[in-house]
Amino acid sequence: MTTRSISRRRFLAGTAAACTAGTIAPLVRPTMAFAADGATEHTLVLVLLEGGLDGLSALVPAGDPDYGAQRPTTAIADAQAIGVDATFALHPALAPLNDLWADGLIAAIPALGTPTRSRSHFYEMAVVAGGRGGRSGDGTGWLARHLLTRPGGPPVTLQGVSCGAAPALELIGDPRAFHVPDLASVGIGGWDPTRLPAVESALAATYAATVPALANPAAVAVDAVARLRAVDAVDTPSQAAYGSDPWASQLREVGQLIRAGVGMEAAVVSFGGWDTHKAQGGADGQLATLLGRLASAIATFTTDLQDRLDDITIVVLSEFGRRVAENGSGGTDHGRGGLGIVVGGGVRGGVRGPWPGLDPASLDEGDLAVATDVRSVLAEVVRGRLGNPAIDQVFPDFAPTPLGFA
Amino acid sequence: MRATSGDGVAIASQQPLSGDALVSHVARRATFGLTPALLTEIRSSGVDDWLEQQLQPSEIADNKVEEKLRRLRDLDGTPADFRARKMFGNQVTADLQVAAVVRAVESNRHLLEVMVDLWHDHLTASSIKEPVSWHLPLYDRAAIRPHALGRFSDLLRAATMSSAMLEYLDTASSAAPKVNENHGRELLELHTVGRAAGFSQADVAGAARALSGWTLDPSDLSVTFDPARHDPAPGTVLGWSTSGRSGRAAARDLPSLLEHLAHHPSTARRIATLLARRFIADAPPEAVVASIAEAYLAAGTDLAATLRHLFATSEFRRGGAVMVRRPLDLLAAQLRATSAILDIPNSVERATGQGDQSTLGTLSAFRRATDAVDPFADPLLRGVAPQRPIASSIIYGLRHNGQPLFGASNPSGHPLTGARWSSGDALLRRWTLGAFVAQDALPGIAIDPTLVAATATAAGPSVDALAKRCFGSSPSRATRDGALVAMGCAEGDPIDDPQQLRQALAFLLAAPEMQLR
Repeated sequence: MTTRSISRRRFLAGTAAACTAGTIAPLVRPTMAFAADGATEHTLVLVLLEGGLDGLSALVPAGDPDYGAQRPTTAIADAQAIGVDATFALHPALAPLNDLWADGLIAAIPALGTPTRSRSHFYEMAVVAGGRGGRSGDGTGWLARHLLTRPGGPPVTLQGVSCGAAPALELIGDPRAFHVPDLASVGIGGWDPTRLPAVESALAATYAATVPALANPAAVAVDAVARLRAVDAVDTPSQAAYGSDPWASQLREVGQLIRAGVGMEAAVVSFGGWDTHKAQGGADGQLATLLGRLASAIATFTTDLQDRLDDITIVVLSEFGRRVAENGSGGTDHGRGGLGIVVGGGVRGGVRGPWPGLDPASLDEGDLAVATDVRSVLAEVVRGRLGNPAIDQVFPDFAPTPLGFA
Repeated sequence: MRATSGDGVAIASQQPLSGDALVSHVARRATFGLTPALLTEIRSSGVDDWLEQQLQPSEIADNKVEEKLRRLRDLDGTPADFRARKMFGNQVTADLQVAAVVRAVESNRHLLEVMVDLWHDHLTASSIKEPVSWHLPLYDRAAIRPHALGRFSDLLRAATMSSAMLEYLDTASSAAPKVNENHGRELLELHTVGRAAGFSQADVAGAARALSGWTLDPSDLSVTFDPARHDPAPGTVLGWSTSGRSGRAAARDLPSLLEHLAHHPSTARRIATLLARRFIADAPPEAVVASIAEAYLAAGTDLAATLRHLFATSEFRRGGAVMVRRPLDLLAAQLRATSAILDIPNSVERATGQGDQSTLGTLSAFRRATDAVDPFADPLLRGVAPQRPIASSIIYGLRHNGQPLFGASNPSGHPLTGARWSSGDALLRRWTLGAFVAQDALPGIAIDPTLVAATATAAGPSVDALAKRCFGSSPSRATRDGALVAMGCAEGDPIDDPQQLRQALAFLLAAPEMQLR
């Protein structure tokens, strides 16, 4: 192997070529026998919309008398929107979700947010992920705390999985949580693929002989690589055409992991590009395109997994909402009250939670006020959908407001 | 590797280390990793004298590093300068991140660099709030570095009253009558007394009042006290009271509170615990924490004196606890072990930002979708990477391993202890990092080529020689066997290809011995 032959991409992992070429002798023979050890049949799929979704354009308060005046170029007109009730309508680009909405399987929670007011992307992402309303606590993520406190069998290797470029902050603190940049390239990078089988065996043997603080996670690493490679090796066809959209591809991989029964209880995926400061558009345009991609990816995923939709909960969140008044660039700046969406078989759909309104007296420094703490949504999912009663440990020092969707 | 009882638990019955074992232990704990020259230096000075030298960094010449760092011109940047250049996040801190690694790898002031790293987390000001990044080079050079081995009370005052911290924890935007309590709470909970002190909401409010009025001058972003923003209402904080002064005189309240907090017994315990967790064990014995806290108070919060006490304790001298290196420690140790050359091009123009905050705001440094896998495709690194390949290697390598420098995800900073850094997926990334270093696959970084020059030596002795270089000692049996398997060699096979030596090195840089400090 020469230096030049290692692509940057291999920084994340180096086994993709070897897998396709069939040159890998896995440490553990791929089988489908992993399903039995999962503690629950239910899978949470957390979709994070990075950049700050303009909730007012997704679940449009078309019936709010103050809406149109605040959005001269970006408002979604009544005629263009899909009616929900006297106050709300869905953005037309969300049409792929119409059937799920009509079946009552989608709950939408407007005016959702955090108690902090930084309006900073990364800061608010960390606040949402920490589940402590902005307090540092022990630095763990709420999802990790759920996985460590949930009832049922012992923890399994891949119970919490995050996709994308970096590990999900929500899973910090769960020693078994696993970050999977993409399924095709799981493993150790930087090695000549022909040496990898020997290298993996050697690392497994060497680490097995060392202190538990290293031997245990090394066993997890080796086990996870084998399990994930098994997913790749066994035939788990996705039944729907996901197309080439990278967001849809991420959900397709999540679907593969669910079908393969690797014991995954929660998956975190992130979709970027929602920071629409300029040329946001209305019924068409930049944001409409994003919403269309989101709706299409979710609809395809739920069609793919429709035979087990009762055991799946999709939660869509963003770090903050956007300002009520549009700016001079035809876009919207960072605000507070946003939107959350919960999808799943058995979800009691519809608009949930209070609506503070858009009249100037109700706004919070020009933002839609936060009427529902994001932790209330998550707590209801954790207790009502994932069957974990330990809300005081998952969301310490917080009294959730019941929303009634789970 | 030394025998241990497991997760971060020191073995009480173990005898103090001596001879080469003590030299190696001190080098692992008090520096960013072993080099052959370092071990020789500690041996020839003697452990006690060497530690004493390290406690007085201003007496240690470091010309080579200082000369090299002069090429990183954004290290001297001011907040107003970065604002004018419309730079954010990694664009601002690229030089600072490169400098942190250069110093960790090459500085003669080993202990100072370890302490600077520690304080940047204990007193986190993070670029995740975009405007904070403008202040971070100044924060590093004016608040953290001058006081890292000085008095904690000076460090606390410099950090608390820095433009970076005032911006990060919202004091800059806090104004009477509704003062923002964020900074007041973190000052108590994270920076000083900690939760164990049992402070109340009234204490938090009192601290927030003392902080109020301190803000940034919009013209040049310098720190200033604005009496009109100060909340003059009376308040108390753990036995300290506001002065009741008004106008500009109220500016004296904050330094007075910080002095009180720095000397508070709960702060002493908290700092003692921090130092013990960095140098002794993840879960240090209660007795040694108490003795370090006592030394801290007796020394008037002088950190060099406190560390002098710590280094003399039997708990430190016994070693034995398993402590996992953080990603920066790991990368630095790998680069030190391989005498890596860190290439800082001499003729680099100052980078400029690509646009305003709104477009940069979309570029999440944390969780980009898969299109950010290639560091050169990451827009956050545009304007940095082409001129400084090493910057993308460092920024991307550490971010990928969960420790984006100067970009912690919350005010408690990157955690110190092992669990975060040794999960299963973390180990995969750490193993990958070792292979990339050994293969010279990180742009701008190259290992000493003589390390992997093919010789006539057989495989077994070649592994031993490289292990000695990486660990300062012979490899464990399991590591030695593993390296041979990874190379595909038997003990006596002749080495005729440098690539075989790179493979041996890649395995050793990923071995258990490399993961621990």
